[in-house]
Amino acid sequence: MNWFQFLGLTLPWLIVLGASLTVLFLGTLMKRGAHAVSMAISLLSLVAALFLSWQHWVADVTVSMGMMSFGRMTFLGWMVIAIASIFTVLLSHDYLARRKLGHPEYYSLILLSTVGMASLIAGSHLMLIFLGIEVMSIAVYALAGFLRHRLSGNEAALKYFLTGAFASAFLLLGIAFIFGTTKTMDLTVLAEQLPTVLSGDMASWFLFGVAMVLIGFAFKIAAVPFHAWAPDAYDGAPTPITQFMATAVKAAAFFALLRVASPLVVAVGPGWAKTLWLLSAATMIIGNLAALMQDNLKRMLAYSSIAHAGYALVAFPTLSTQTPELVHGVIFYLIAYTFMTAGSFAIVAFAQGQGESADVSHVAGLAKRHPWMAASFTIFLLSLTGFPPTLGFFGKYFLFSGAIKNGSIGLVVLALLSSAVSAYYYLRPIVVMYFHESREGVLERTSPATSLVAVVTIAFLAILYFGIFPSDLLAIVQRSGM
Amino acid sequence: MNLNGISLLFLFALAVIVGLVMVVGTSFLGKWRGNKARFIPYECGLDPVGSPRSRMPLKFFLVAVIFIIFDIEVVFLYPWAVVFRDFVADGKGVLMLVEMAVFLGILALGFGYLWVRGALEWEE
Repeated sequence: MNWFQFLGLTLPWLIVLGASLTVLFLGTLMKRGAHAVSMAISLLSLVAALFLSWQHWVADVTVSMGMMSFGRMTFLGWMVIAIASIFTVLLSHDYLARRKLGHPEYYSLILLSTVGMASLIAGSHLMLIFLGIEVMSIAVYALAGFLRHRLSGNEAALKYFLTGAFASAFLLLGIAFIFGTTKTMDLTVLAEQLPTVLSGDMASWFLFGVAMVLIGFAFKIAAVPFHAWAPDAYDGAPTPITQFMATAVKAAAFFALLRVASPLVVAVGPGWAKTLWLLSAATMIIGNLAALMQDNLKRMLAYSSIAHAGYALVAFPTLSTQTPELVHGVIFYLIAYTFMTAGSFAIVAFAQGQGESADVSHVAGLAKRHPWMAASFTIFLLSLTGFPPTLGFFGKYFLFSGAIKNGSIGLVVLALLSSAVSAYYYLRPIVVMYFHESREGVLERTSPATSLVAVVTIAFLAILYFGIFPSDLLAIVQRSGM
Repeated sequence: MNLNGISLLFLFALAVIVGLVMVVGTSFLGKWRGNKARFIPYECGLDPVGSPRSRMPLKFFLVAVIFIIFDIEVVFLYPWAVVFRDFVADGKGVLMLVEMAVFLGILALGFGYLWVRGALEWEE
């Protein structure tokens, strides 16, 4: 094993790890200006990670080293989580400054969580994948309860922690069973051994292990029936962290699930395809129906993120190593979803102002006072619904057309029907923004912070540009291989 | 593997000897100051009988968390020390040493953070 090459490949995240520790110490030792410095260091390290991942992507290295395997798909995943984390850091500064909560630990935990995600995405060994999930989650448990004087903040952290720890136990149990029956945790070796194991007398124990691993992942991506923690955790967490949970955490979990699913879950046989079919259908339908009832924007977006996990799961029942278009559909969808969700949460954070409530009435009259913010939010919501010419439309288009080609027509019909339902709750904030008078004092007259505007602008431009020229983004995804 | 059995026996004997030396040694060396608290079970300063809703300083929990840092360190150091010789024979001694140094370094940073943050200052 060439250690210099290994260090070179993991350099983006070593920088982020170093920045995390620097922020922890520098922020604690500095008496004044710690918040701004912490934010600047975090932002710079994440931008460096994004740039270096891009460089790796351009260099197109494909190599397996120890427990990690690198390839264009890995680097693409790294870029997605780097972008999502950059959005979070940008949103956080203003949000924390208003609440006088600018602790260095906050940024340090975000960076540590991102490092966990990076190893989760690059992991080709079940132990590293488990470790990555844990590093990612434990940091987010603490971040979810960062508003510790708020009752619902504590509720969010506790619910997320208890269910998340429970899910990790399932995942670990599953890994133990897989290791017990196959004597390996390496995914490539597992894929080779699969036929022997499935015809052997240990097959049922192995399948039990696979089921447990699937449950563990379903918790992390908040698929029904393992979604119950999501609305409360999303609602109680600080809004930038909600955005982090909905974009970076979910994208990283999906990248890992793609890597685990094709050798393990899907190759096992038609019984598993049915399980994934049910998981996907239940997630879309329940996510969308529950979102209809929400007056709270954060809860609405939480259920919407559950529904979107259901759409992405449409590709999984027929996933295999022979279906690159399905993998590309999921990745494209994840990228689209990251931009539109990050943008939406930026607007929610702005509409919240000093308060913590995220009721839909907060955006009333937004169109009059901040027409650009209202227009951007409209685009984000239309994109989430899947209207052309936005990125969300093409995300759904590539995903569903790939699924139809591979024969899951029934599931795609369900997905289309449930996304028609979703139009109702996505269009409601638009109506409120443009046609409702703002209540006195609900929406401040203050102009949005620069960093918040930056997030909205980047997301807005990305959604419109790639919505009009989707082939550019698709080319990047397709060249990333499997 | 007879040697393992003997070493285990040796460890057991050592534990008994250390325990005996401590108990017997203190009764010879120390001064006996008898008071009521000395006769309650578990001399850790907590009254074993009392209201279950009594309050306890959060600092105890902080100490427990700090303890975990060192606990985890030792938990990993023992198996590492056991297999280290095999790795040296395999020519991977330096690698293992560096990896343990990285692990200890990260733990030391965590400890340093606690120190800087003032978690070790008992009096406010």
